Amino acid sequence: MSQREGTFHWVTVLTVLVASLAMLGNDLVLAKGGGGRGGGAGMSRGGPAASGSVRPQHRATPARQPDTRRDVRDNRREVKQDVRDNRRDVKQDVRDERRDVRDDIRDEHRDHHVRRAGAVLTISAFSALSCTSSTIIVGGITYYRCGNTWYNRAHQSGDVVYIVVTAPVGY
Amino acid sequence: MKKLISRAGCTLLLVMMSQVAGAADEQATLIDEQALTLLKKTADFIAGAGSFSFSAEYGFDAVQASGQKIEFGGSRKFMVRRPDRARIEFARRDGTAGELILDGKRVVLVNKNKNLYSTANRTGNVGTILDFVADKLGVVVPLHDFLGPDSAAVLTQGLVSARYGGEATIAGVACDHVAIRTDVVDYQVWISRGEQPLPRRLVITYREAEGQPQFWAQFIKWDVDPELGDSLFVYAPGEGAEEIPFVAPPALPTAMGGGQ
Repeated sequence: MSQREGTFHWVTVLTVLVASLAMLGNDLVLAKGGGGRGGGAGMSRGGPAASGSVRPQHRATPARQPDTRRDVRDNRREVKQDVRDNRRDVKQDVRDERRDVRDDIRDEHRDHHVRRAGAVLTISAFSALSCTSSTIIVGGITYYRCGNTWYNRAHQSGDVVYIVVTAPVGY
Repeated sequence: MKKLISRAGCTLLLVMMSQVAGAADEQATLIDEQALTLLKKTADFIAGAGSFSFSAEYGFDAVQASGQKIEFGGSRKFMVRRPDRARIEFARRDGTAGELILDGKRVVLVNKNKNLYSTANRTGNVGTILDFVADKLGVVVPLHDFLGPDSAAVLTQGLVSARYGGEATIAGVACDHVAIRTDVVDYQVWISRGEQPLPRRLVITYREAEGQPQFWAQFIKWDVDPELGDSLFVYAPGEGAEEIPFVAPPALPTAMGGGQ
């Protein structure tokens, strides 16, 4: 193998490793948070066609830019090939990294406990939380408490969601 | 050699000229007046109805990350009393059911499954209020392009071509088939012939979107002179109903013109 090929090989391995870790991050969020908004069995029900309007640019989920479609396809093909080539090599690395990341996330949760105020969880994400939430009504508003995190319900884009809020006065 | 070059030049010139002529021909036939007239007629007919109601079955493609298209949908009942009252009852295929009520002063979104509702103050006409609901609250209201007083302008916004597709029967009703292309979508609408030019079927193709997903709707039970009493447009929370706030929809990527 030439030096250039060797460098390329390692760049690719690193890229795949980073991508895998990024995907792993998503997996963890999904495992904790459930699938896409309102879709069954993790399927997304978004996209411009959901608008049922001839003016989709006004709606919540925009169309993707058509110019980049071919680039994306080409890139995707290349990346796929790279991934196939290197998957075997990086699998073990990824497994090790994954364990580390999982430990890190667990530590982080232990340390902080509280999610950022304003964070939005879908109903399925909320019901997938590891704790059983308790319900407290303060001033006519229903709060859900999960550990040290408090939630209110709200309507976002037509769906009921859970929003992280600060604890009600007195709690 | 010189002769050859000049002959090639002439051929090139002829090809270019014929292409220009072809484009001009196409330009001339892009707008079929019959098709455009039919579309405006149906829009104006609905806009001219003081009250109307209809139901619709609809479905739409959601393009998954894998490229696979999955269809979702539901049914809706629309009741409109101009200028500013509307009640839209919806039932999604996944079981989510509710209502969107425009009472003249505010918008009320009701989730019947969870006995929750949200309100937002808004005055205007049915068209502008539903634009607010879709754009600012992010609540999807399929078919609302047909409901406002200026629906003819809405339906021809960014018009590129209008074609007439001939006669077609939809659910037993004789219709005219109209195909429209705008700068962002292609859509087809089947309009009943005769006294009441009403849309009976709509298919929208989002041709700029990846996977070119479609939305379709079948309009049923049109009534352009219904009795729609005041109580239909008033939301009275039932026992145990809780009010929750509307929160802003997730921001749009800047490429599409900025967040909400």
